[in-house]
Amino acid sequence: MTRTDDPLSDYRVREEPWYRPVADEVTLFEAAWSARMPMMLKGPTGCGKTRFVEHMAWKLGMPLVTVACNEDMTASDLVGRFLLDAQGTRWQDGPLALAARHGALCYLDEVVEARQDTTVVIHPLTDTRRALPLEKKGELVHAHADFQLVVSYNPGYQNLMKDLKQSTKQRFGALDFGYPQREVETEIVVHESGVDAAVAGKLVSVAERARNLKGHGLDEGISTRMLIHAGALMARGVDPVAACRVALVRPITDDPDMRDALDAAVTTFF
Amino acid sequence: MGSNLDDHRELYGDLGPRAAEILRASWQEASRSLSPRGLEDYLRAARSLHDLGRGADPVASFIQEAPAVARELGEDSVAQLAQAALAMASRTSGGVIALVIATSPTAARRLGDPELFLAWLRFLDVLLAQAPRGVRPMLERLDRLLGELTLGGLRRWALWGAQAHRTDFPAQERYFALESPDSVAVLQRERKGTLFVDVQRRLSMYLRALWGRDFWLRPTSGDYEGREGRRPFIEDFVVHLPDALDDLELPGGRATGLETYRAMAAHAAAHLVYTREALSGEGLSPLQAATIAVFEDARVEDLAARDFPGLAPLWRRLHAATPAQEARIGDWFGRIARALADPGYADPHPLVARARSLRDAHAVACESNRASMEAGLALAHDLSRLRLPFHPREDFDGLAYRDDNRYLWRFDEAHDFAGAAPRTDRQVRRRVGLMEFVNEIEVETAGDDAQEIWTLPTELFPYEDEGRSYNEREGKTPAAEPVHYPEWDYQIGLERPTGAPSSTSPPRKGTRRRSTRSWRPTSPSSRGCAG
Ligand SMILES: Nc1ncnc2c1ncn2[C@@H]1O[C@H](COP(=O)(O)OP(=O)(O)OP(=O)(O)O)[C@@H](O)[C@H]1O
Ligand SMILES: [Mg+2]
Repeated sequence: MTRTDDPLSDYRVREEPWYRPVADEVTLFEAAWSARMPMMLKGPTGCGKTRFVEHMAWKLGMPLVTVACNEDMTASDLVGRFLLDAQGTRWQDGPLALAARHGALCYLDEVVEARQDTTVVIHPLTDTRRALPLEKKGELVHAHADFQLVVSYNPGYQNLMKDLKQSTKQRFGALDFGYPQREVETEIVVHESGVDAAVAGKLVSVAERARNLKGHGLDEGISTRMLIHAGALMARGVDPVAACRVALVRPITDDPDMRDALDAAVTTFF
Repeated sequence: MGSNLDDHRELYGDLGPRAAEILRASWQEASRSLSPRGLEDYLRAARSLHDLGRGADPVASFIQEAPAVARELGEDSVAQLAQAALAMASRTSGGVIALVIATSPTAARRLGDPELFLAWLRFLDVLLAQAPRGVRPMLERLDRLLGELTLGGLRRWALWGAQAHRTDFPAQERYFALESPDSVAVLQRERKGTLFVDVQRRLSMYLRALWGRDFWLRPTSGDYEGREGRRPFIEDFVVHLPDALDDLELPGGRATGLETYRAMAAHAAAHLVYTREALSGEGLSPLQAATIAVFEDARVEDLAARDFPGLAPLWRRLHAATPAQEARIGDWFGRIARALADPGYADPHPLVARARSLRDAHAVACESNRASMEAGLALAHDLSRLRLPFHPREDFDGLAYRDDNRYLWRFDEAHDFAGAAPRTDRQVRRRVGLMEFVNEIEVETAGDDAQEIWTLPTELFPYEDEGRSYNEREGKTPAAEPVHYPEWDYQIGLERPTGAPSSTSPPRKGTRRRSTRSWRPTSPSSRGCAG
């Protein structure tokens, strides 16, 4: 809260975040935005969900308030709380209240990580009421006309305890984010890491190898983000095999057999 | 699951209090690991072991360990274990029988294959006769022994000790307990660099990473007599690899066992992935068929390397042929194979240049194995002008990582991987080494429909030979390979067409055995051990 005239100043997206559309997600999101429909972005970690929201916020000219959800998060962390200072107690809006009050995109990243009693606070905001009760303060915030809620969700975590309630899920429209097609993913790796297309193509091929092992010893495939890391190391002169080991294979598994198989798969390209 | 122990009371009756208690404790695990039929056999076997009157130990350990064996290898191996244990009763104590059973899950896990497990049980039987005091100490160290040796290696190590300490029982015990220097020395000698079971999982993962599907890998045991393993082969979509490999010293540096395994596995997988239909061997001479196979090996490797460029150097470094090799057709195959695999290989001979140009001429058609057929036929013609004798069994390219190519000629026409599960219910025909052969039990009454027919590649002469081999005395020309009809595969529930073309090579005449007289070599070295 630096400038009093614009409480959302810190959250404005001033430069265009580069985003390579994968399918028709941009138009669909624009339509959802115009209907102020809450949106859920589904997909594995590191496949471009966050980048997409940033890009959309920029495109729509909207501020973006992002919250990384976690288990310890309470409803107050979202909604707000009284703070004690020299003048006594003062209410401070939480990120969700801030976005609802002043009109912003609010992005709850990895919403399943939050406990269910936390997630229910979004319920009144995501149906026709479009309101957020601040119980402690005794206020009902009616959402600004520009407010939209976006959450992300990784269905790969097959954790029953952590799944979202149906009553939560059914409040959202959803966009599926998978790993992009190889040409698209190659382009992204080139743009983000600075390696050339040939090297980026090989990195994508390595990722495809690991993705073949998802559910066969790997919980999750190698993400676009990891490829960008590997590419960034290579762009700095690191030997490709070592870069793949450090950025792809070692982080993704501790299983010695799996590491060996993946290292060997790397050498079929580098 | 659902199966109630008390419902089966009549099968096992009164096993005594201790065994009965262990049975109750093991029942749940057993009913999870065994089919309803397998469960009944399990109870019957427990009963039979009880009726032996060798104390409670064999029964108790069978009840406890059999489910683990079933989980590792399937329930047929449990039946074999029970049979073997019963057969041992007349030769050894209840304590040793119990130990055989107690160590069977270790053997199952380390051997990793039902056929090898059966060979293990047979070997124990031999050892009970040859080194009765050695069996116990050996079993007590089985984990370590099988951690370092293949079954073949273990067997050579054990038989060496049995020979050396035949009558000196204390020395025998020390040898088998790994407490004497000669024992440790022989162990060192027999030790192999890399055991298949130790790398199987990573190989499977590697292949799945590359091609995104499962491949079945199984170990095969080498000839017991030599340290060389068998060549890899593909049968019924199962890739059979040697049970152990040593590191190789190559011109380009050392190749570890694991690297060679990877080259083998990837080559075999390349056949399975890129060969879409069987070649018809009709009317081909053995030389033509073998030459076609050389091109086909190169073709599938080229296709694989197109998808995975790093495979080419993996294979290339295992080629060691040189222009100096020219005595046999196999030498030429090795040079041609190398020329096709390695653009940098310099070989001035026109035949080699011709092989390369034939491959290039058919490159457009390389998606199909017809290309190999055409190129192979043309080159076989040129090779025949060398006027060298051709022996199909000995003359191959010398590349240890390549399978024996039986797969090219013989597999289900409908190349359907969903339906590709290992078959278990057909007659097994194996060509075996001499020792395996002579140590086997024969079934005198068995005919051509026996479960297994083994063939020895060489003539076998009886000990009291009069210059006439068994073949000459009682041999007959074997029937052709069995023809398979479409069958219902219960394992996968899919009807699978079995249009496998029959073997192109004429049935080999060899020494055939079917019998159950216990029949052992009566050479001086093992005389006196007949059971
Ligand atoms: N379509 C895309 N266009 C541009 N960049 C992309 C795209 N997809 C992925 N990226 C790149 O991948 C990186 C990781 O993506 P991002 O952070 O958006 O993942 P995420 O799906 O939000 O992951 P998480 O679930 O872990 O938060 C981005 O920083 C960006 O560089
Ligand atoms: Mg081959």
